Amino acid sequence: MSLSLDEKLKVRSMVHVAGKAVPFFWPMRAFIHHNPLHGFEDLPFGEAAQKGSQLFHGRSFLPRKTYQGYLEEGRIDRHKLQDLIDEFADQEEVPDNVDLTAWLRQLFTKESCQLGCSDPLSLTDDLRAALAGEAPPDDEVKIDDLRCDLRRRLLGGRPLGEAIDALFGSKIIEDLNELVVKSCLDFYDEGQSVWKMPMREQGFFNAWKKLAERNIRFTLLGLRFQEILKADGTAEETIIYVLRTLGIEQEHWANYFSSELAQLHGWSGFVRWREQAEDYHFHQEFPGDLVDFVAVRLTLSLALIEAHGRRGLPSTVEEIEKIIDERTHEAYLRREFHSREVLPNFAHRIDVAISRGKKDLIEKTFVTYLAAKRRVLAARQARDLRAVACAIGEEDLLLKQDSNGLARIVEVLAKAEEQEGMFWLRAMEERAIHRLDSLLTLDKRSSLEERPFAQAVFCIDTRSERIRRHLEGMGNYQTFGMAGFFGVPLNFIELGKGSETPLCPVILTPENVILEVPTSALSEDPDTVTTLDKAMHGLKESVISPFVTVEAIGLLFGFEMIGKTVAPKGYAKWRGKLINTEKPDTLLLLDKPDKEKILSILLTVQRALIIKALKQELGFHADQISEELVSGLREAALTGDYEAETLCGVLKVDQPRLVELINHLQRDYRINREFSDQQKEQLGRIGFTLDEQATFVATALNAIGLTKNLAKFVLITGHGSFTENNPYESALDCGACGGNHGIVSARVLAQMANRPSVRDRVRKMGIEIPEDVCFIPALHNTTTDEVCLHDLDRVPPSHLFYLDWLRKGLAGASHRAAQERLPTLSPLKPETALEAFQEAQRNASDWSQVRPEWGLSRNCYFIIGRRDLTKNDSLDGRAFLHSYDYRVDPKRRLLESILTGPLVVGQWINMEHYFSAVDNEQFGSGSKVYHNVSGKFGVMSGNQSDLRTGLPAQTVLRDGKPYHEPVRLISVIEAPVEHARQAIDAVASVRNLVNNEWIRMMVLDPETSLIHVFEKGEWVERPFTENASETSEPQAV
Amino acid sequence: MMDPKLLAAALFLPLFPLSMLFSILFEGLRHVVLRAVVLLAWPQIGVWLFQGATEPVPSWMTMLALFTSLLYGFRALVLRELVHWISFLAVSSWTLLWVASGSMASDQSMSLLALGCSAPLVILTVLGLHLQKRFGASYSGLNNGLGHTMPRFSGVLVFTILAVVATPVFPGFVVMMAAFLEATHITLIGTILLCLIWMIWAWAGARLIQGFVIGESKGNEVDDLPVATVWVYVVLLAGLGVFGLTMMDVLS
Repeated sequence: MSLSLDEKLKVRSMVHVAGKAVPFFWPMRAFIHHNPLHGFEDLPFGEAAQKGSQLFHGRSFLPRKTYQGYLEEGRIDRHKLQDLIDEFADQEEVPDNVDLTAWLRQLFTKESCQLGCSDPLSLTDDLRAALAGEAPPDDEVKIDDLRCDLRRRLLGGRPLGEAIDALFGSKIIEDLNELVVKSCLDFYDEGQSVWKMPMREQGFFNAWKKLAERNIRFTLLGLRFQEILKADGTAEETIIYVLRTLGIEQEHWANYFSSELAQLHGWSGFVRWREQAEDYHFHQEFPGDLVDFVAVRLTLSLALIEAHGRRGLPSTVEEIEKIIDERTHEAYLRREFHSREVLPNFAHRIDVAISRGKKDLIEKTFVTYLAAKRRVLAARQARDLRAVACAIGEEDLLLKQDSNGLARIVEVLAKAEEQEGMFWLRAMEERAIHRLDSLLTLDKRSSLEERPFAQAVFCIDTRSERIRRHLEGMGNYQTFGMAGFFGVPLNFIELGKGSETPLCPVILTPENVILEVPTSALSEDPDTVTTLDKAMHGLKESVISPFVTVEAIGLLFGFEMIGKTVAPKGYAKWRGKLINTEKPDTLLLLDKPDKEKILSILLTVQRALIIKALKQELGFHADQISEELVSGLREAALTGDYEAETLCGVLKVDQPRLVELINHLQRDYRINREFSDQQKEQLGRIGFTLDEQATFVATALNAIGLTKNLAKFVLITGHGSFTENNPYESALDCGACGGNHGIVSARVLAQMANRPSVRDRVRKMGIEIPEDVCFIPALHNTTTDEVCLHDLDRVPPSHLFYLDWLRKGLAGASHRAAQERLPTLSPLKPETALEAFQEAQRNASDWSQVRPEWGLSRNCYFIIGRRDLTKNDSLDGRAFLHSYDYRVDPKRRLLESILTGPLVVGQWINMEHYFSAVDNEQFGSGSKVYHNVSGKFGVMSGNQSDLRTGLPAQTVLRDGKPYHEPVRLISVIEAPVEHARQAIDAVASVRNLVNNEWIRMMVLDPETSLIHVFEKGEWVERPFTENASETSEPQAV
Repeated sequence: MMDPKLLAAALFLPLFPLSMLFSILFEGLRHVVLRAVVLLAWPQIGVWLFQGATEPVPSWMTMLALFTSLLYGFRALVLRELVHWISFLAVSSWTLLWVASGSMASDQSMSLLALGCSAPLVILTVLGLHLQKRFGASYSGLNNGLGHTMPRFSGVLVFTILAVVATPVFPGFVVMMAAFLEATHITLIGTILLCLIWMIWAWAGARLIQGFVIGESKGNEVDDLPVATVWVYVVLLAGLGVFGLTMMDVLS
């Protein structure tokens, strides 16, 4: 089959559109929080939650029982819940005298049953009879209704394997997932496997295809690919062939792709991310896209279905339809049995009937079963309805209802149950909003008049709130919050590493590169212990050697295991001494080299390479190599234009040897025009111009309102997490730095701000940085709450005297923050702050600790405003705090950039936590205990599963119940309402999120003292009462 | 002419096709006490008849016993209904007494071992009742994930199934060992068949555990066993273990 370009493009576009519902999955090295329903963000939250649940077979709201528990604990606003119920009840028509509000209140807050029933066998007459205590009437269930229901459940864009599994109890989808995961693991591996899959450079589908026919496992499973993969078909051709063979109509293709991709949404999310990451090394080396993924999956799917087909199972949509139409009763019984919806006491009987396959027996069983099922459904529904009616005193009214009235009541209750999750969520958010109202303070005076001893800029991360509060409590300190990349998007090349790491939110693409260079001599000889460590890893990862290694040196690992388990802190200290992991002192290259400098660097590098080549190729000594010779060879390699005779004479070689040498220089040493141009371009990306540096500094200071009264010390504090044996470590790092530690960004901004030439330019922009102000980069270790100062060798001597004071202040704040945080992590109750701090340090070095910190769990608020707004109360580490002073931002540019970057990333984080908490198995990643790192980029549960996306249970659940309270991000902007609204309207992505209620947006207008809340498509005005006490039940936030 | 007592014993230590009668009878019983009584008494009658026989067991009967055991063990692999599974495992394990009888030190030993084979099946029958009360049936694969929802029950269930499938220290293991000792005297095929039977039992047990304990639960809220009840089961299972250890002496 040969497809036209048009047809190929059609398939590609369908796959890509289908893939949009699947969120990206970034490699774990730099964990990026994401919204699992990102693909549905153009829909209102409630609708998206429903669609997302259907596609991913997950839950979008907590179970009712959990909400009821929250209601009892005062974490849900009872009045709001009542208002929502009233609002719903007002819109619905129910029979006279039925108090729908009372019904819904009783159902939601007291009962655990579901009153709506979608089963086609759930008939109102049966229900009426059951309520009256009578047997169900003899009306027959219409066979067409059954057929329709079977078609709806089994066909219509669903994977055919699912339908076959549902009817025959085969495990096609399970086997298919396993085989696809194995294929993906082989292809996408990034260095974990010792034996690599061959031909990967040809792309996923092409490489897989060539191996498939020789794969002994596939042969043993009875899979035949000859027909499917014949004639070297492309991925698109194969997809079309499979879909046509299965009999899937073209109108269902898009849905079919979505369903197939959603089966392994972790893997498809990774493939989808990888295909658009054009600079990703592994994608460049081994390309593979979503079309390849779908082609592999569909090929395996067809092979499996055909293998089952040879054993008598249906293998096309048509055959399934035939079974539904001609053997409806059998199909019904089969689906009931294999989907686990069968009445338990009938399971064996149905099993026997369908196994024997005798028509009479099946008919007999069907009749008996159908009657029993109708009876059970009606009895169950009648019991539940009666229980609710009794509780509200409407039992008589219920029993008096005719069929129409009863049907209407059930219909309305079912509709209410569909919307129930949103009721609870809104009521829960209302409580959180009230709580926030009570904590905010509108102080119209300008803040500190006195010059603070030190000012510290922290990341907006929720974990900074505690340390900021405690630092402020230590004395004359002032703190600010801004996104942890401090407004400087950059690619970083770490000392000793050859690759660039982007340090900014993933929605930005940095252009400039910052290099880290050593300021002290580097040791040439690798440390003996480090070498041993590497050798050990080599032995462990090889195919054969582990068998010998375990006998020979297994005991050594035993010692390590005991050390890490029994005394983690002491062992870590001892190991640290043994293996010197400290980096030498370094400096960051911030300045952009000019054209001449770039040429000079290039010339130096090329000279060094030519000298090396002459030594290696011709055995020259350094003193034999003249400047003219090097210049001549360089010219020759770059331009191809040279005087052969002269060069041959100097080099004392014949002409063919000279040509060979020049070819070597061009090819192996890459001294050629093309590569030189590339290098020039690369070198041009290094650093920032002075103007750019000044702009970054001024923008950062403006953004947080730190434009005057700067303290002697201004700490630029990034954050990072330090834990042991934790594949999710980067999930605990700074999201604004692309899931990396924030210290580099802090060093960059501090280094820029300390430069006199930058300060001069910043002064011209209207911000005076006094000469005695020293910017110091620092790192907040969120696992221990320790704050470490960096680059202290650049602190002026006049400030050294105060450093000790600063350190003591930071240490005190760290200890107090750890003391506040530790009770949520550990049953231990340390008596002093120091003990708490030490316990936190132990947690960080304990390799068996599955929960070294809570990370961003319980995040709830995003506050954009002055610190004075929230300074007086504890926000319990639940708020992203972005400093913002609308008075210095008349054109709203700063606010727009806060909304575009930090708020959007905050929303991703919030949604990731939300869905991981409401359905940890489907949207989160389950328990960490079963996780295994796979392919060096992800984790799987056990030895093979879908890539686990989302957060592990230990991050969002405690004792199996949500620790993170799943609410949407409640965002507050402190600014005049028009100012804020215009900024929101100007940023399309944020406007969309606000309008569709993925973010609960509030504006606190300091000029009118009114709060404006965006609710159901409009801004609602509320009076703001400072530190208002809460009106309803007491609660612990 | 064959000894009629042996023929009768083939009904109570059921050999195929007479074993079908036991299955039909056992699966037809509705009350758990009756099932327990049948499980305990049926093989005892068989042992009594067997020991009363005057003629030695013909070798074809021993082979038939092995075949019956294998057949019923194999059928148990695909059974998901607990009562049926118990019935098939009962037949499969009792028939081994035909083979094992030769290794018994005394007549009493055979009777005790028959009891040892039946006891875990009785416990399993009672456990099935717990499932029936909670879910309406004791059908594996329908209400799996009990490990999450009923961890105490699951623990007891797993150990009981291990006892049924002749895990070391339980009496079934002694019967299996006795059969092995005797089978090695018979033929190589006998030994191979025994290995197969033991493997199939373990497999069937694992499938049953998988169908009940492993996986995601439907989310139904059910009560786990009370701690006191669990202790009763623990004592019973520990007793079975001790009983099994003491019975090791019977291997002559």
